[in-house]
Amino acid sequence: MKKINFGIIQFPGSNCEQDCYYAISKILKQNCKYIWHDSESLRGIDCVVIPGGFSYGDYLRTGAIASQSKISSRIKDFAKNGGTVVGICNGFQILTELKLLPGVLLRNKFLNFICEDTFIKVENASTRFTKLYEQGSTIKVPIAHAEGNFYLTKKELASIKKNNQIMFTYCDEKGSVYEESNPNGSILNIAGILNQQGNVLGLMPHPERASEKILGNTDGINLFKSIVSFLN
Amino acid sequence: MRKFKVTIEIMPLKSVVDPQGEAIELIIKSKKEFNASNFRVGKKIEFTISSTNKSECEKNVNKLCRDFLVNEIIEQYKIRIENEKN
Repeated sequence: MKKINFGIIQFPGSNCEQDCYYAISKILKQNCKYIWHDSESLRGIDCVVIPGGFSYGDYLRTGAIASQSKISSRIKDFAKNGGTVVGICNGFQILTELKLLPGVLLRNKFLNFICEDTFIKVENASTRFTKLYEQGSTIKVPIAHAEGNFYLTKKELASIKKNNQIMFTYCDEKGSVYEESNPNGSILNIAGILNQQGNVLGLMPHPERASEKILGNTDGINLFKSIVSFLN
Repeated sequence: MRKFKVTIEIMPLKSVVDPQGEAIELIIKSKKEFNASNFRVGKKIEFTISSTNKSECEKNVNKLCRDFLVNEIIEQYKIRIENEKN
């Protein structure tokens, strides 16, 4: 298997890039480099990772200012040409502001910052991001956000349902999805979605923080392994 | 070119839950001093911009709002344009 080249985007205020770097380079042994937001090139990159954090202090709206940076227009071109892009937490928020994914992430229903393990159900295991998970399986992945309340219009919701773009939903330990298993008020308990073409994923939970046995949880590593397997 | 002072008032759409407004309302109601309701929290942005005339200015500001300052999935906005005082 060839080594995949991951590029992790750094904005002022990103703070999960080292976790992603560690999971990809040290655990998965893939090539990985940081790309500063002011850069204009994604040359040689096979997969773009937009990590979590508080890019530009979450000013204006979460992800809004980052979506206007130089590298963001390159990410847009990269995605439109079929490149693999994954946005985690703030990365998901940036992808919605870039209009690469539909919808928007609102303040959590009860306004609090939530940092805890959540159970999520793999709703679609036939994608490049989830191919090593079992369809309908439940995994434990932590969340850490104040704006994770996914919202989109009824028309867009019908469209993403029809196209199987719902990737992960918040559930309980047994995989049941209902109001009490929803930590932040997200519409239909949505924790992650895919774009229509299937090459851009956004999710609020942090798979990179659930990638090593010594940390007590390896449920997240298959997301990165799936990407490596697909790109080979 | 003329200089214009622009004020943009951004509010969450009625169809979107506004937890900040709800939190404020909860506290106000618990005080029982005022009979106030329907709180919504938005934001106001001010800046100056140069344009050839007022309609050109309005066109540019609308574009700026739609491209960047406002997310129309969840927000609506009102623009006020005045001549900049020297």
